[in-house]
Amino acid sequence: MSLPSSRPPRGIAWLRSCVGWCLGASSLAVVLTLGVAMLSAVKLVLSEVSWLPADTSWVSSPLPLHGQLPRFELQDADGAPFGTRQLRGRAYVLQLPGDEPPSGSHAIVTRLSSVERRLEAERLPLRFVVVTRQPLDVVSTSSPASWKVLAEDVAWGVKVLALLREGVPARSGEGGSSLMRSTLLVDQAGGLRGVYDLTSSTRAVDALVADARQVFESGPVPALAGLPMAHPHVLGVGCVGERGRH
Amino acid sequence: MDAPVVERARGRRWVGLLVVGVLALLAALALPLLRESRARLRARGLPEFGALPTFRLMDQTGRPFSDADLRGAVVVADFMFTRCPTVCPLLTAKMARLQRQAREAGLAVRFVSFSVDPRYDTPERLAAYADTRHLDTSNWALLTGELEDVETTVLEGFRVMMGREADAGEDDFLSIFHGEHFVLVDTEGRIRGYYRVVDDSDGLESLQRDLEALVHAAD
Repeated sequence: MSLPSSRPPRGIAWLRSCVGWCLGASSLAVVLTLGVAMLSAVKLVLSEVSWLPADTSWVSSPLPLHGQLPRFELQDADGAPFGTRQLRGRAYVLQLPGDEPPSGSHAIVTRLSSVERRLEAERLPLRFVVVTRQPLDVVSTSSPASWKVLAEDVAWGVKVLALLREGVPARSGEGGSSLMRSTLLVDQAGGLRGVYDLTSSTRAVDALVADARQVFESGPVPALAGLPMAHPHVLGVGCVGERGRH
Repeated sequence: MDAPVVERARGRRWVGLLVVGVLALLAALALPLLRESRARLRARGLPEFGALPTFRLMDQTGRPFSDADLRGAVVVADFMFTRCPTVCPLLTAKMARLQRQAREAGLAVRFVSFSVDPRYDTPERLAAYADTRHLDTSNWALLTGELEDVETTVLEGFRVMMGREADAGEDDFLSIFHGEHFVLVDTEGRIRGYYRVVDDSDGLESLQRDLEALVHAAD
């Protein structure tokens, strides 16, 4: 009498063997994949090259943005309102009133005229706006016809003074009267991009001309990616077509 | 071979398989984390240029559309007008390409185009513009509104140029000028980049990378 065999039937053994081989092959594949993944991770971590994709290259505008000039609508010599609404999309030079007697304002007019001539020579059509507390007809007569001469608004002046104190730290220590005779460079979006004391030295005139050139070319955009390599400045004003910018 | 030895061998095999399985699971979990941490690092490195402006305009269907409709989403904005014969068709084509690539990559991004000629660009004209160019407006809104509101939004909010030559008539569309940049905004409503996408610049590729990072960082 033969004892019943403990071996499984031949078919089942074959099936088990197949499953074993499949599991073994799968395990090997997983181990290999893991190995490759780990090697890649180690390579990335140890690589001298950043494991982040290439960084975006920014070209920043060299002119800081000191803040947004408070909106204004002041009256010109004809009593017509004029302000930020009419100046939108255009860079301009804004002369604040100060406490100057008429003789002092004459000096500023002379310096501003010099700035305007130099900008015109470079075909940079910036607007000139003079805010004054002198009689408008007197200042208008002594100013070039292309300038807009406007009567001061005290409440607006206070806001501008606050912006200058807060936004231009280098000049925050100066007295209000000194700050309020400043010449401002305003970009196409109404951003304050430069503050100058034209009465102090002729170098302030040079700085204003250089910065105005920059604002005209760069526009209000603070920084830009995607410029050609080593491009010197931000191009922010828009496209150039047959009729100029549009 | 006696039974306990066979059992021990089988046990070791199952333990080995379990270890491999756990490792595979860990790797599967770690890869998305790795991708997310890369995205977070990249997103953190992007500059900040101020807040998305508040605005109330209309989309191409005539429905009100405000900055609130964009909150919580990564947004790409551009500035165009339908009568523009030069750069705007190119900008629109680039935006459509970016939208297609974002969709294929499974990135949830919103697109907005602000008309810089809003008096002419009525919602109907914007809808016709979208229709003619087969634009997918499911996540792309073309916006118009009062000139004052658009100027405030584009100039003071986005700090992108828009304007018209002095004394130009309403029909003189060649006198309109505007910035040709794409602007990237994150889910927190912060402007994170300005990209030049025309000509052969690599701005579009940079924008793709950065918006992908912002989307993954927000996940």
